[in-house]
Amino acid sequence: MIKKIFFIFTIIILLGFNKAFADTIPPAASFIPFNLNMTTDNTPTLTGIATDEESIITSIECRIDGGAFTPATVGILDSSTEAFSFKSPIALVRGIILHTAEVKCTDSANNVDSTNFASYSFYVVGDRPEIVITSGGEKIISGDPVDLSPSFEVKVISNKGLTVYPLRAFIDNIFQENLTKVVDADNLGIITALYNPTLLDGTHSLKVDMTDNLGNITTREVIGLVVQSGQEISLQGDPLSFPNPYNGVGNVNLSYVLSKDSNVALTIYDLMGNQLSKQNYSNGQNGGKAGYNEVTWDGKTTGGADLGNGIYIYLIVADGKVAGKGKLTIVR
Amino acid sequence: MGFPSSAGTSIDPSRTVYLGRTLGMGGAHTALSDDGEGLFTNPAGLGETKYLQMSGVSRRLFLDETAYFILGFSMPTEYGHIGLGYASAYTTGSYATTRDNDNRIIINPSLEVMAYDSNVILLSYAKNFPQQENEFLKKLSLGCNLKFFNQSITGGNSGAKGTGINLDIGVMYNPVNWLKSGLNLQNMLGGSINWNNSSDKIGGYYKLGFAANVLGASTEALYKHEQKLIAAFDYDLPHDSLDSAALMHVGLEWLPIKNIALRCGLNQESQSLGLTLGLGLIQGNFRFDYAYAARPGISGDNPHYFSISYIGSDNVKIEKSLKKKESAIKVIEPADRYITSMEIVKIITEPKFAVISEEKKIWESTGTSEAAEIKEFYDLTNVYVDGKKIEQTGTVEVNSQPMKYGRNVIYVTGVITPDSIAITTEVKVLRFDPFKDTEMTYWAITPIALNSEIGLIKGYPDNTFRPEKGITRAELLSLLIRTLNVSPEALDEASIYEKFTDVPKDNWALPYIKIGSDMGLVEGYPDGTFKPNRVLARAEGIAIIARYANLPTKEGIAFSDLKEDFWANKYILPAKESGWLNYLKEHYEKDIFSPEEDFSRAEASYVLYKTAPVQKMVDDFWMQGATEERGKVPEWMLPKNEITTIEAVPQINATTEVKAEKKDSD
Repeated sequence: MIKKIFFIFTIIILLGFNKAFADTIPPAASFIPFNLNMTTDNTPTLTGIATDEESIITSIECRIDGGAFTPATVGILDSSTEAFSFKSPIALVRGIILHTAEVKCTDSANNVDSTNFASYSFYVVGDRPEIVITSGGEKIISGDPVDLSPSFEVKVISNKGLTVYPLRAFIDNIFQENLTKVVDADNLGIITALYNPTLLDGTHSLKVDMTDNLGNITTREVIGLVVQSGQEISLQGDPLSFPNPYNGVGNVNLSYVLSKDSNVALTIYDLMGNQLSKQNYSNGQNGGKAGYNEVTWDGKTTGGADLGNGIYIYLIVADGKVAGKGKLTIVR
Repeated sequence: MGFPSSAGTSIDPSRTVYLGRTLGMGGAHTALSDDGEGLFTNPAGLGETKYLQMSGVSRRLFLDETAYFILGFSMPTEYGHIGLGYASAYTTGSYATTRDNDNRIIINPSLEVMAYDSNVILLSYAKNFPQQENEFLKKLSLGCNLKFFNQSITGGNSGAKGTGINLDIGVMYNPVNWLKSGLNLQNMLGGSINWNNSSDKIGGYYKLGFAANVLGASTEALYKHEQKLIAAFDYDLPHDSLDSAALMHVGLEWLPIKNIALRCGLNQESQSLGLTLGLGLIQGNFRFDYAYAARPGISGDNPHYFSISYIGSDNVKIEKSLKKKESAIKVIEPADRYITSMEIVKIITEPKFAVISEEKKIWESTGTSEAAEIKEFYDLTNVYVDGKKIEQTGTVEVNSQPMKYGRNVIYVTGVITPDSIAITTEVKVLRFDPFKDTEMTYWAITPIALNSEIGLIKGYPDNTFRPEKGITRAELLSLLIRTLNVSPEALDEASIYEKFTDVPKDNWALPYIKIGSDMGLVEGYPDGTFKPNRVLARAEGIAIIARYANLPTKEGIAFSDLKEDFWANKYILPAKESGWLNYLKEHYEKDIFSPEEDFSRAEASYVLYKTAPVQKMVDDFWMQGATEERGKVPEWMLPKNEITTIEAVPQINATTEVKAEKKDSD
């Protein structure tokens, strides 16, 4: 009888403890990385493990590159440690584009992390090294204007492993020796090279080639790079905006290609020529650098008012002169 | 229809006016608004226009990106002013976009390029109240614009349309004739442009303006001048607008001649302040306006603006018809009926004639008209002043011919050209030979001189008058009887009857005393005497003269020193009210009567002069001369031309000759 009472008393105590120290921590999860964080499968299957200290895992969902969360493939969810796998529902772009997979887990105490998801970044690559050439953070493509002394950054990735020595760069088919080459400390499959040549006015080409550890070679060339140091600033093509039409929610991106570095004022007007907003960008920084520039605007006037539906005109004024003008449409 | 919670603010293409006159004046037009542009700047201004107005322009704005068109029309009717306006702004060339493989923004070729059209129709009404008696309402004009908005976006992935209604309210008030103030409250209803899926506010400005007619030909200018100069100022306060800053506009318009207007101004926009210049050319019923208005910060923008307006101001027919010509000769010195002792006086005169015409303005567009009488002055020719020929024009200053003692007439004559009509003005001057003891500055010199001239009073044989000496009963009676023009036979008859014991037959005053006492002007004493040499007290003198003049009696106390039961009150009060006793205050500077003081000879002259019978005698003297002088005007005083008089001629036009009747001179 006493034992019975003691037993019941213990149960009550334990239940009380349970209530006092309930599980409030969501489950944790991690992905199993690819080799060198790269995969050649453009619809890769990611695997990982979810764990919870106290409760049973009741759901595991994943997404890639900010898409919608969808349930991962799991076994019977009856424990606090569960393995999962998730196949990308869309074909991912190959190249030096970092893709991000995220996982969201829920336990039996209904704990779920709603903001700080466990994530994993990786590349989708081909059989040969992938090369991208950028300047000022923007990818250089053929025909882009560049500054007199551009800062080129060459990035090479390969899931076969890389060493710096085979990386070669040519300006106008002339081999360049002064590259600063660095292997990524965390990933032997990534090499970055920095190069600051001094160019003359005119048109130039830049070629980079690289061999991976298994002898696969990739060559990347951009031609028609225009240097116009002595001439007036101008825009290449027309300024464009995205999204266009813009629904007034969030930001809109405005892009333009400058012929050289300059101080830029981007001013937005209504049809009658009344100035609504103005943003300034410094020489050499994004918005004021030679080549492709893409800046954002919140869709409001300087005073914080929302614009009505209609078409608005923006001027790119570089070094005091109107270099070009674009139009964007607001339709709410 | 459900709209999202956040709404934007739309543009109103009629809110900023890109017409030549408004822009040339820096955008300051709220208190002017007296033409077709006024429909947009302040509808109340239309209430002051007299005829049809229209203004418009079509051009590309803002680096040629916007097709802009604006047209305003208004006209007066018997119920007020109505107007119709239209403003639109259109642009295209907004491309739908996507991203390429390099994540760069590129044109999406599968979607149409987008275009945006924003237009507004205005229905206007304005009214002023010039016929109101209330001074405030007379100077007030009210107006309003009912606005219908229509916007559309085409192309892209789908189109959209939006419509809305709003109202402008305008007020104009002219506190003084050369200053105007105006208030235009744009888009007051708080209306919205309602789109398929959203709703945009329609903002505007509260516009306050002032305009001053600094120079101008009419009375509505601060300074009268042939040229015209207007200064204007506007202050714009935004409401529900994309602009958050208040704006100012200042402008000047100068018309050195009536067909050319030169303008300048300072135009403040949301982020800049720019100088504007303008030119207006007025030809017939049209005005062509040009404005230069560069926008700082937008290099490459076309700063030249042209617009055309129908103003109708020259479509006015003016009819002028002559009513009459009349003498306008002004003799500044001497005044008419001037009394002097001098032989020669200075004459200052303006020998002019007045042409009185009726000028009628008829506005052909509305048929309304207004007429006004105009008086214009011209110099006479062939001018003679007091017989002397005068060659100068304008104000003439000459000395008179030597004057005789007595009444003299100074004539100013001249000829109206080209009609060859002579006109004359005369002033009369009495040259008086003062008594030895009575200066021309003596306070009673006028009544003394005139009474003497008409023979009522005489001096003593030693050529003195002894003005301060008390007048006797006999002297006053004889003076009064003399005014009655009693025949010599009546005087003789009165001389044979000794009515009073102390007035024997040989007393010079017997007939006057007899007649005066018989008339009841004065009574004898109970003891049968008259006491002819007793000096009259003031009260007695006033009573006698009041009886002589048949002045109605009136009970009451005229002065503080008179008792209520004083026997002469009934004569003294009406005498004071008739102005006979003003000399007491003016000369003696006293507010009391002093009834027992001697009634002086000067006082008797003054009071007698004030009576109606003597006033008539004096008037006859001035008009026709002293009895013995009538008809005797010296030859040298006659004007060299024959004198004619002008009669009023019937209303005729300016080409018809004026007829006049010749009259012989006296």
